[in-house]
Amino acid sequence: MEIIYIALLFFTFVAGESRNLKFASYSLIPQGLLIAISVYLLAYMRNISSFYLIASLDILVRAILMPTVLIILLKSRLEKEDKPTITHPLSIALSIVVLSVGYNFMDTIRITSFPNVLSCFTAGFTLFIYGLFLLLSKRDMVKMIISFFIIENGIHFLIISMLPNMPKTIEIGLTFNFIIAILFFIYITMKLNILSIMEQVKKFKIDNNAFNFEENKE
Amino acid sequence: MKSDLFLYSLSYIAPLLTGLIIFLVRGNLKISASLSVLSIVIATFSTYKGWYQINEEGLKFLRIGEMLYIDGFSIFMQFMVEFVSLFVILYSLKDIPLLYSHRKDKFHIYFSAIMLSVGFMNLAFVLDNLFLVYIGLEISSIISVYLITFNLNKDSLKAGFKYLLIVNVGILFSLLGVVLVSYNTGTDVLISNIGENIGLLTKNIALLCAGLFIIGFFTKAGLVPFHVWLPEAYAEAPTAITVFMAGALTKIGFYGLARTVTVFAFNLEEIKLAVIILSSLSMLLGAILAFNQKDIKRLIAYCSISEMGFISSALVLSSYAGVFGAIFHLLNHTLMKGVLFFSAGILIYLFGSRQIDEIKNSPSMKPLLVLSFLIGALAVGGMPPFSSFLSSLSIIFALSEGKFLWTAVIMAFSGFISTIALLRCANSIFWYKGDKVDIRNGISIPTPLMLCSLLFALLLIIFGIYPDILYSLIDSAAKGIININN
Repeated sequence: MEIIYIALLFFTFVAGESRNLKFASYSLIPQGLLIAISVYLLAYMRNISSFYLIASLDILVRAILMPTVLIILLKSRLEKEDKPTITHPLSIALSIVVLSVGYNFMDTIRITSFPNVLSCFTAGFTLFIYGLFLLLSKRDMVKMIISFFIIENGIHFLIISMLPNMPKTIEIGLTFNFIIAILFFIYITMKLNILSIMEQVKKFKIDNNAFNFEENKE
Repeated sequence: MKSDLFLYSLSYIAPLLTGLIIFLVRGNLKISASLSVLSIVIATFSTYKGWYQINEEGLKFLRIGEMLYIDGFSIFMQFMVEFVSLFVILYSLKDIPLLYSHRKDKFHIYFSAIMLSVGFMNLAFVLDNLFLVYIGLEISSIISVYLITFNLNKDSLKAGFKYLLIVNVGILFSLLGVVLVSYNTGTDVLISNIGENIGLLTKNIALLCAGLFIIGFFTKAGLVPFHVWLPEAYAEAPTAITVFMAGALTKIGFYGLARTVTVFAFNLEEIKLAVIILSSLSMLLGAILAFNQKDIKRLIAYCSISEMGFISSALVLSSYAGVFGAIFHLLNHTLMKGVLFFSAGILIYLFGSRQIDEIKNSPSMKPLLVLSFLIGALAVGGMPPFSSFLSSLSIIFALSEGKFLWTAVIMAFSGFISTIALLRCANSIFWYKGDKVDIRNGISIPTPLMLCSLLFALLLIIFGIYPDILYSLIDSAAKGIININN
């Protein structure tokens, strides 16, 4: 299981730090798949039947649906990330610190203070903290959506680890909330992209007209 | 039993169904608005039935099936949301076609989003399980993003994005709080058993849980230091939606606070102190920041942040007087912000700008508008004979009794500053001595817009002179909050 969690954190790091937004969005697919695999494994090892449904839902929502809409969104904008609030090398260094220290620290906390939680608690909490860090350090809207995605995945893991017998209806309700929130994020970002494209076209036309006018004058 | 369940469920089923019908039928503006009004009337009738049963039979709460828990506070919140949404729809009927004609093919979605949001809020107010409450409140918040961004310009989209991001992430903390309580007690966290469950927690865990709830619900309510989304969202949303947000959506945060943090505050002095310090910050910062605003809606938004600090400080005082004052002020806040935002909306409609410098006119032209704005401004300062005077006084007494005299002083001071800021704005708009700005195209104020504003102002006076009208409703709501602590 440990290897799965580390791989999960690696893809999260790639999604968070990749400057190419398309690549970052594609990294969410293995991340979602690894979440689903770990939930399947927990279902099998702990004999919790409701986890099979949750894992299937995770594949559908976290590994397919959400990354896909994000990739579709990127068709209407540049794939390069807007400049973050901190420099990229510093951001990478801090990410490594947050992920590695966070994971080890939370593992100790889990063993000492939360002995009854499932193993995904540590990864869940690390994702949550890392998502918050990304949210504060990034300025690009798509990166902010990815940060929200990571925070949500962290919360999902935390709920699974702490309340494995939670009613399925609540888990489905929370996933439904998550889908609606992401769709609204995409809606707003798409509309903003369209507006900025229109603005650029307008500006280009004005500049072009001014240039033609100057040329005719000469 | 089944008929009871259906009757009480109408308070959320009617708006939810209407929202879906409006969305699918794609009717015109009048059909959408009429259907919305009809469903709100049905929802209000359902809420009234619940209220009647609780009041007549002297019950503490109604438990219907395994999922619904209705007490005085649920009823109060439902009434308030229904009241606000009714006027929001009436105001929108005139305001939206005039100012947002470029979105006329989406008017049905606008009304549908209001109804869905009302439906999910009303549902959350009667649910017992805190996870389900969270889901209901969260969906209503997310849907309202469509309303904030309705204008579809760059600023409104950015404000909507900020709102969605901050509120969603913030409220996830309260979800973590529910998870933590549930994990530590080993049971489902219900509103009906939260008092007992919190008693089972160790002090450190209780403090951690309360901290998570505070972050979550302070963000939702728009209190300092989690308020950054509020001024922009209020300013960029259509005026009717600003009133909807101030009167209903931010109240979700207070609903959450009253159901969780108040219970913690009854058991832990540290929580009480933390909330009161944060509330005092809200009061002060809101009032001070209001002073320098050039945008009329942002100015009122900052005053709103300041006022909401009054409510949150009183909610955690662990006394009947404090909780009573908080609930009374919750209602007054809705009325005051209704008056002010509706009046500001009329000014924006007349002058086509939100900038105070660009709105200059004389009081003789629109005396009723001047009157309603002034009533709102004076009510913010807790002046008699407005109902906010009584609620502010109750809170000040409760704070003094609870040995938080310094908070009472900050409250009085910030109320004064907010009023001065609003009066200065009124002076600059209505009694400007330089060149007047013409009302665009010489248009007059549509009667429904003025009526909405005046009615809210009138209610502030009526409830100030005859507070008995509200007594049993507020008393029952206060007891509802206090009962879950025992």
